Amino acid sequence: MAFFDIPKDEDLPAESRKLLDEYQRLTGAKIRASNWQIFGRFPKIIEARFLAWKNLSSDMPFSADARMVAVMLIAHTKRCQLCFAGARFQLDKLGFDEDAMDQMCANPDTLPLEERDRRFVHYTLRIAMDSANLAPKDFREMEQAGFSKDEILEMIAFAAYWNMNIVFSQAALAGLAEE
Amino acid sequence: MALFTVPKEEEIAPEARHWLDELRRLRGVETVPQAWTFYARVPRILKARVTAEDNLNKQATAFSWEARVIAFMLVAHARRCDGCFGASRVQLTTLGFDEPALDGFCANPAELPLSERERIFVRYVLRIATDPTQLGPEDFRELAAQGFSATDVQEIAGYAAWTVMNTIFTTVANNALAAAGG
Repeated sequence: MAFFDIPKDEDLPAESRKLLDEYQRLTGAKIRASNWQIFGRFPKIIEARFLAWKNLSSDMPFSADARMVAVMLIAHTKRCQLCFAGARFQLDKLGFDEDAMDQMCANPDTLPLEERDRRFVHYTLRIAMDSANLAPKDFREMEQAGFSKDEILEMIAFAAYWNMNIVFSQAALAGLAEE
Repeated sequence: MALFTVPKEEEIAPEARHWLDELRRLRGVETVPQAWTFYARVPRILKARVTAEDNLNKQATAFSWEARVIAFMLVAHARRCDGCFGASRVQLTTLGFDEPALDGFCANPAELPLSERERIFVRYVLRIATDPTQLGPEDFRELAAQGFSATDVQEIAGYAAWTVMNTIFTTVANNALAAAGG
């Protein structure tokens, strides 16, 4: 028996239901994501996650292709199965086939993206994986690569959000695993 | 020379100022760290961060403030976030812990002067924040055996998730500002 249960809609507070509906609508998913629904009894968790997702990931000034490739690669490197599968689902909808996605995971330096998007993926992956070792020269490099200060802040936010989301997703996955 | 500098008060847009004021109110402080004002150029980043701090940290009331700050110090230590580490130690000092005691917590997190329940809370926050992929059903079995409910564990996960996000925002801001003398 799993430690967590997935609560039914009627067991959720109205605030949670509303935000979960909105998240589902904005992501275009057919069903609610289990790694979100699990936390539905806590409207404060759902609100924090939803606002973080919306403000740090969804409403970003970078292409959907670039964002989803970055999520897939962060999830791949951090071994988050749920985020990895979710990113690939979205990339499939954007027209990438399985082979292309596998290639991107195997060789993140040669992504089939425009140069600016490739650089976005490169820097967000670096921030997500190695934030402690970034130095002022790295931010100068980002600027020289064509990113404004605001865009650099958005990349940091994106990396921070996906690190947080991976923690929620991994906890959900472990709590749902049958013994 | 650093690309970024901390914006001056008069350069901060009203929406960003609103969220920084909200942070001051939440923390009961007059000044906010530069790792927050650094992001004032993009107010929605502050909105998301302040909401997460309130909902996942301040309102994680199933566990004591002491336990939460100790957990945060240990996560900051493990993730090499100097800003978070220093801030958590200042808070713990105001709670009555001296420097040798805090060094002792970092050196031996298993021997914390907390109740058994709160020691487990700290251990799992640290574990989830540093390597969530290693979590398995046996961890949840242990937590259940120690009297933790599913909602307790969700609060632990929420708190751990917040510490991870916060250490990234803080580390990157401080690294970006390093050559600016601040």
